[in-house]
Amino acid sequence: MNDQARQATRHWTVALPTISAFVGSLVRDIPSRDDILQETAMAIIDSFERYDPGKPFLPWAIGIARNQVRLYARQNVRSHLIFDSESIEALSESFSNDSVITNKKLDHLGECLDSLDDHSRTLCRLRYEKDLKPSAIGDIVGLSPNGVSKALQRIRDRLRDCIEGKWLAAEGHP
Amino acid sequence: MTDKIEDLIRLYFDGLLTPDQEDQLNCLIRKSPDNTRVFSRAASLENHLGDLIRAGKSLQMGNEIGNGNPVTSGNKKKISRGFTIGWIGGLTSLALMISFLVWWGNPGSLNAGGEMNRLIDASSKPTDRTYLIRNLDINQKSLNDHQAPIDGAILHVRQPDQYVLIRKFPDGRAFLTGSDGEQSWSLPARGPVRVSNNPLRFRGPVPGNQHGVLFVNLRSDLVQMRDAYFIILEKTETMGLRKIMAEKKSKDYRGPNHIELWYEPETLVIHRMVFRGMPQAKGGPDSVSMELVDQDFLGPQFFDHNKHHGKEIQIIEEDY
Repeated sequence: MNDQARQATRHWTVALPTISAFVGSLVRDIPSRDDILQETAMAIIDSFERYDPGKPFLPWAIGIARNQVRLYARQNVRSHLIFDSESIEALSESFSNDSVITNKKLDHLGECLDSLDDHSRTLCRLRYEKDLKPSAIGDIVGLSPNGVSKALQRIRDRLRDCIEGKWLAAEGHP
Repeated sequence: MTDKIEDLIRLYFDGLLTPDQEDQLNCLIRKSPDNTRVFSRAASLENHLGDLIRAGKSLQMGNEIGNGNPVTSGNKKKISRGFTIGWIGGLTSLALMISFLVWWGNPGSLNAGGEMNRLIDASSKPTDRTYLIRNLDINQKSLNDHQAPIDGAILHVRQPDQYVLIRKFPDGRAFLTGSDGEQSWSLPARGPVRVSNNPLRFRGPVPGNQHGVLFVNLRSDLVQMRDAYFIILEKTETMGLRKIMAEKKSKDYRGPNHIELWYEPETLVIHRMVFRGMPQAKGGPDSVSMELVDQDFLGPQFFDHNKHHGKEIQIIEEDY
């Protein structure tokens, strides 16, 4: 592997969680998100010679990912992207400013998942592994769709508190 | 009425936004960097959470059978406790990293490919294998009286393309299907045995049958897996077994979305296979596991239907 390839791989590895979150926030269908990420990776490789190493990699890569999302939306007219161009621009900027700290905090998510109770685990698996909508989950667990959505939000809030706490502890804060 | 940004984000991620609320969310995102920051942080958590869980992060439920753990293997090895995969990201993210590395010709990907090649070489051995099949779906589809469940079924295989699948109804009656490599056959709990010269004729109930990767012919299916999937080797071993994870490269390929293989690094015997995200067009479970329970020789005629019924039974030869 030549030096340029090594640099590109290093940058991509660090940036991937944020780029994945950015694309996933716009395109909710997981296989489509993955396809866009593949295309983004290829586009980055193809154009890496044009990347200015004096500037941060993430905003440049997010720009490429944003273009791939737009291309996807044009080619898939039935895809439902709710955000307009202005919002996508704003989100590109926000994700571009995403710090390494955000991803470091998320490294604790696995431990925090282990601490969930059985009911919360069931809801998470139905929502994320089985990809069921809240209405379908509600039929199984006996809640309204909005009730399921609120329950899932409480789980996300608990997980967020948990990863914050673990990150602070890992950083040596009391 | 104007909703709070947090509520709109929640409804967006759960697919519950109304068109009016979509407009509201757009307005709020455009209006303030604080709102975009709240959104991007929530999106990062949502994305990572989904990837971890889809990748099988340790979310075993007390009432779920064998999900994620090898429980029994051919040499009676017992692995009794859940494991925690040391993920730094989701399977998808890892697969994308691997693809990136492969694209640049990085030798880091050769370990996984090398292990696949070793497994393929070892798979040519003419060993009989017997698997216990488990349906891993949380909500298993209800079956009518004529449908034998796949959960708890036993699958015997021998190279090339010989198999016997034994499914049992709740009352203990058995429904057998199989192939001796030349003829396939179906032996229901009641009625005649049907025999066909089409070796694929009765493969319907075998997990993965409609999906390209079947593992009745282990070698050819491992080759397909190597070529059509991103292969990720988990270098830490769990109870002496090494794990390969595979994610389908493209929707254009047939086969389940995710495959896990657990094998002994020295003998290269595959003890457990997990298939997740199997296409649902023809029904059947979304996720199944196959545990190796035996490698004993089954006898020369075992895959012939005559071995499994009396001489008095009616045999119907089919033309297709």
